[in-house]
Amino acid sequence: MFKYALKRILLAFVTTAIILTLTYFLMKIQPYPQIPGKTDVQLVYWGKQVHLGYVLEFTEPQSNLGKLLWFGTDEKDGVTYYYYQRPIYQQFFQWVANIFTKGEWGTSTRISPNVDAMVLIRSRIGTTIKINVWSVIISVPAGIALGIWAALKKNTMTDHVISTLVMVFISVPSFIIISLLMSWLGYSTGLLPTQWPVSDTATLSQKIRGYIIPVMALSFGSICGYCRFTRAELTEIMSSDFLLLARTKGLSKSQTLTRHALKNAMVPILPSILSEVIGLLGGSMILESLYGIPGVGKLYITSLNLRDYHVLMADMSFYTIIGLVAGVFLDLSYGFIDPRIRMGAKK
Amino acid sequence: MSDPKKTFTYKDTKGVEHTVSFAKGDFSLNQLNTKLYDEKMKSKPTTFLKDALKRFAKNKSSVAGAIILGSLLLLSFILPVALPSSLDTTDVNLAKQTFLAPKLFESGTGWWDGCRAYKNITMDFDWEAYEKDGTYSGNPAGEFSSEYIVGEPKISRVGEQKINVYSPYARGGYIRLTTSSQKGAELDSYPTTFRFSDYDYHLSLEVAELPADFTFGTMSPYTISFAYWDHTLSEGDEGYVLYKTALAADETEPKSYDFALSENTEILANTASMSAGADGYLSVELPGDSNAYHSVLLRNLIFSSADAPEAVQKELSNVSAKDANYALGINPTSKDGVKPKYYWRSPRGTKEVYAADIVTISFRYDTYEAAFGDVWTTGIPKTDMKNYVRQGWITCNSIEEFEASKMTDEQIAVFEQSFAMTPEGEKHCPLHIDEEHPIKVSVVKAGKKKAMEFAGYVTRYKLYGYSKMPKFLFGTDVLGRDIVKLVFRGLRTSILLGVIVSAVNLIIGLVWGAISGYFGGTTDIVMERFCEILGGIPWVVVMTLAIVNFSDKMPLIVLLALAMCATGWLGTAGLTRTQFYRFKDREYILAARTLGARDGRLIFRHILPNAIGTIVTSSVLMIPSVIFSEASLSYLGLIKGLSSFGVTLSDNQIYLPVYPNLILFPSVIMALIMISFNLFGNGLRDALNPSLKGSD
Repeated sequence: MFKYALKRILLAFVTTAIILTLTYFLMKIQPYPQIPGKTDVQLVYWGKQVHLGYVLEFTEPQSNLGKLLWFGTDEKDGVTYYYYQRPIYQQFFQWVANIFTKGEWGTSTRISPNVDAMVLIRSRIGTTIKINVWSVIISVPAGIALGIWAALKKNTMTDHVISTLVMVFISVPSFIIISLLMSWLGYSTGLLPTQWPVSDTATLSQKIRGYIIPVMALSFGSICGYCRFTRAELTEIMSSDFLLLARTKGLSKSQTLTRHALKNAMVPILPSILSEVIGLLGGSMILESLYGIPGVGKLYITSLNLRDYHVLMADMSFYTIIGLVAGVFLDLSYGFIDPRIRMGAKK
Repeated sequence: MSDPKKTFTYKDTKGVEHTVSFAKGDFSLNQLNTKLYDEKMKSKPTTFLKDALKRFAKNKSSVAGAIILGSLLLLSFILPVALPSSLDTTDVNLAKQTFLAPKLFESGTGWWDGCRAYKNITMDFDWEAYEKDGTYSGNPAGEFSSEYIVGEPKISRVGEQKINVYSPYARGGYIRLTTSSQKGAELDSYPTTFRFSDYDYHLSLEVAELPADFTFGTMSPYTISFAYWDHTLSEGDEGYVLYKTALAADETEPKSYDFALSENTEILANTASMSAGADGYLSVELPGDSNAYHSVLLRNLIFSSADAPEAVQKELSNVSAKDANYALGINPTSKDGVKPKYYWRSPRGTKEVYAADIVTISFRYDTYEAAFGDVWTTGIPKTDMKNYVRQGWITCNSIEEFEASKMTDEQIAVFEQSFAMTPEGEKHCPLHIDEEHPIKVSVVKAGKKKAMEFAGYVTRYKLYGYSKMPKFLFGTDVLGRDIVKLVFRGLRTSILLGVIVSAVNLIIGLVWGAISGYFGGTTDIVMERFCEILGGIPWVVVMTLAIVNFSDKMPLIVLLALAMCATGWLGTAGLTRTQFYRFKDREYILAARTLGARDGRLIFRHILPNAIGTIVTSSVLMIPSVIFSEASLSYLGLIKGLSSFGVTLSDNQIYLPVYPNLILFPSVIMALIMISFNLFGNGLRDALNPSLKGSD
């Protein structure tokens, strides 16, 4: 088990490294990010790039270093500085070194100039987590409960209604659900705010009501997912032999359900909840963009639209790492939750 | 050999006795020397596909899904071609049919009838008529015309609706003065010339109480003062303000004031301008507070003079603010950019109207009549009229009369009356002529000559090239494009993209998975590791890299297809690999191999047919997910300019608050496509893999 876990984690590291390397070089095809603004802003930016080791600084123009990135005169000492890009492979090693030694992922050029990309991500992740935690708190119990109900009433009207609703909500794209919620609850009835309330000026009641639409939008999909999963697992277990044995031994139906069926059904469900929780850190780009939530997903879309390459690179790394960590958790948690499953064991 | 015949008797069912006799030689063996083989079955053999179809047909919901899906697909290929309305944005007629409401039934049915409900639209209210005898009359403000209102409009009562900003349609209210910082606030009235030596002047104003739900800060201590200024000097110069007197200083209570200005104002600086009459103005000041906003509400601010002549009193009433809304609404910059002499100023703080009365109207508006209905048109050219007559669409006395510009009024009246439409004209002619819709002929001077001009009712849909009043089932968008046509054209693009992507993924995945699964060993391990790394890239990252690097180098649809294929085939490859692992060790494969079958034959003849059901199902189910991804990306605004479903939704997203139908109808179609695809896919999976049936 330990050996397998180690192997799995190491593999995830290698995969992350390869993906990020590829991504870095593919992003570097684009021209070096320029920053808008006056000379003092420019000097701060380019000075930082030099300090981080991506850019070279000269006091005279150079002919053998490719395209001139920027030049300008520092008013304090009256010297004109010329900036040139280092070779990309050197930038790459420098980038890796900066991540591990300084925790420095890049500098924003467009969204908020001269601010660290990680600072941006960190400042937005709180909102994303808050919304997603509420959605998990609501959707996990609701989904599992609905799934159990449907499984117990298999092939009755209740089951059909639940299954149909689940099918409908899983099929309908989330942005449609969000739009309809906004249109119905926000615009036509005016019960809820149509955009995420700005945190400084909003009152407590506005803030609370602001949560309803995003949490609902996020929960619908998850509830349906958990419900379908639980129903499938539980119906399979309900028809298994050991449950029949338990019944013949004299256990009541509810006893078999709680002591045997549910425990076994949870084995694949719990790991999937765990990995989803980690995956949720990325936020829902569509929801956050549509509802104007200042979260990680919206940051991603903004940085892509504004071509803020440094933030985009940090963002992509963030998403890649989240995805792989979730995968590792999913794999390993099976073994922890159910001792019968011995991960990585030979046949 | 003797062969005696034997005789038998028997009774049949009716009791009649029969006698038969036969010998042994009468019998012979029928199949003694023939060989018996299995006969071919008479009934037709069933194939795997037919069997699958039969199983599929049993699944009612999947059949329903397939039918809906099929009809939507069919529509997506027919409708973009069949519908008459144009999608070409350069078509000038499109601009005249923007934002039409969805219409299925006739106008006035109350639901889906091309009418749109408008709530609380500001009314261009006739205040004079109301003040005179309390009648409510007027039109909705803006581009609405009251003749296209369907049913009875609901008009709010005066006093029900208040507005806190200046509106040309409002009346009354208060002047709200609010401090914006520690600098406080100041409101200066219109300045006007006061001749204290000649007349008595009077000023009255009311500082009103702040309402309970007032949101613009708290009541502020205020100072009301009156000042003179010498307009021959400019602001800031010494001696500019000649005199300033505090009429009420640092008050904190709402109160009504009545000042006799002549008594309260003592002129100190006696300059040359004073004798000519100096300009004076009222000033209300609020002290600043850096921690909070403060406001006062003022109203009924009236300068008056009892003994002055009419002209002076009129000028005074001009500078009074009896109607706060009117007083504040006068634009400080006139048309040519020169500031008029008089206007209310707030050099510090903000001034705005508060709680002005406004009348609103709620009604249902027939957008189709408004866009396409008959409209009185003047200046119809003579050549057009003659053309209609020549084409036989309308008739009149005689075509020569068009040139007879010296007709008397009686003759013109007869000529006007003579116009009528032919049945052919009813179909094509843009004019609408009958007793209620007459033609008017007038003779106007054009230079030296006299020319005839025509006016009449023009049916606009005919003018725009429709043969009858058009019906847009889902309405039209900002550019006047038919949403139905737009949606189904987008659907066609999306489905095409889905089919291409899933076909490419199927081919790549099948080949990759087959090699990996069939050969196993090191090949498999290497290929699997590659897939694992590729699969670790989140699709947003793939999409981002594609958009960043290639968005200007290739058509969008190719870019999308490439990005979706880049990691999309991994699923198919994994599935194929598993299937190959499952079947490659079966006995029949071993048997075929023993018989000398090569790898190619084993793969294509023995393993693939068994595995294909699952793989094809997963490919079909990939189509909706591709549509989904495309729509999401477009909706996020990352893909622009593609004629796809998501772009239509994304373009109309901003109109969600005002025209929800623009999002609602495409959403329903999208949801329908997704649901029916899933139903169909589930049925297909059950039909192709009977062993998987029942699992979700």
